[in-house]
Amino acid sequence: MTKMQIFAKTVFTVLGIYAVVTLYRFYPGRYAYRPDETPIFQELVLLSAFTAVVGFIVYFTVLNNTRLSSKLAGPGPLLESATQAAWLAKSLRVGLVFIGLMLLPNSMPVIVKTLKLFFLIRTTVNDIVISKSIPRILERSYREWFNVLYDFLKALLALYLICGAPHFIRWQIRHTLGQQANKTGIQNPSIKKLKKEPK
Amino acid sequence: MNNIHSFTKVILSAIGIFFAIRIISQMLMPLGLARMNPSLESVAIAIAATLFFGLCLAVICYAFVYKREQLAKRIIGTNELPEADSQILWLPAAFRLICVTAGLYCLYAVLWNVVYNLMQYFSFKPDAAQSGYKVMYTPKILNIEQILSWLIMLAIGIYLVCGAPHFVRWQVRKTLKQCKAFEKIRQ
Repeated sequence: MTKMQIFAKTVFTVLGIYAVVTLYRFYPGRYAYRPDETPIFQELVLLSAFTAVVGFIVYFTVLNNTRLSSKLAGPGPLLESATQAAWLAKSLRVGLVFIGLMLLPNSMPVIVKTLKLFFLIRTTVNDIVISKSIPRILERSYREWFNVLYDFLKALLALYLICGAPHFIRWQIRHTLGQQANKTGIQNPSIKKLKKEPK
Repeated sequence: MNNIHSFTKVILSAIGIFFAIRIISQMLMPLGLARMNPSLESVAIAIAATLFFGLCLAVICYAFVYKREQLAKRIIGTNELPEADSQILWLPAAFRLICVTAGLYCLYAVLWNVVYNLMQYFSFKPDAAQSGYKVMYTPKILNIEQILSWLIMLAIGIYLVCGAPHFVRWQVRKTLKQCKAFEKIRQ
């Protein structure tokens, strides 16, 4: 791979993650005008179709973007395998930290609410045990639960990306170098060792 | 002037233009909200918010477009650096750049949230006939969680705009450690 291809790969990964977050943010089911009238089956079909489209985007932009990035960047001087891994790790890390930091402002209220939940657990459990009824905090429609889940997962993703997403980067390097090895027909045993980073 | 400086200058200009466009597009929103309920308070807040947005716009244009060379020097250090053949040189600069961008975005989000909520509160300020609005909007403004999250975002934004030295050092150290681990495996 060339430096520009690695750069393009990072850009595709960042855009792919941003696309997933944005697409689910504007998922039509979240903002239905009359939510109670939509049958659950219809909702499930809509969610499955939407997830399939998002999965397609993720596959080509985040998981398997080597071909796209090489088409976009064009030919250039190839890097050595070791240099390639280092460049890939560094540029991916910069890109992922960037997208994590950009997701953080919108996730901050969710993080604060999640921290507040730790103080509410005792009261909530007491309410359930004593009154044997569902507390108000848990009384939500499935649409509201979807929104809560989306916000929570987005906050988790932001925190993971800010930490540098080490597992994803390891997997991405192993995957990319593995693909190249398959293409050239040279099997590199060190690729398998990348599965676990040594201490 | 080396490649890193040129790259940093371009990125800084891009950041400045991006935030300038975002601020311009939302600068007149407070006035629009004030038109919905033209009371003295809402108009005063709208004018103050618009002036504040204008001031932010001026500061961003001055710092990121007009004075970008000085800012690039502050981010990168001296401009007598050798060419960035070594991969280590560009890494702190890149992390610092993304921190400044994210910090600006954080501050922008805080500013936007505060102005929007205040404008909503004052635009729909209840009178005797509209007591429902008070119920609808008061909890959003006086919500302790929201105010706390704004304060945290403000603190994070200021830290990131200042270059986030600890965070950058930590990221660079972790990245280099990860790269060394790859190199060890491959040898």
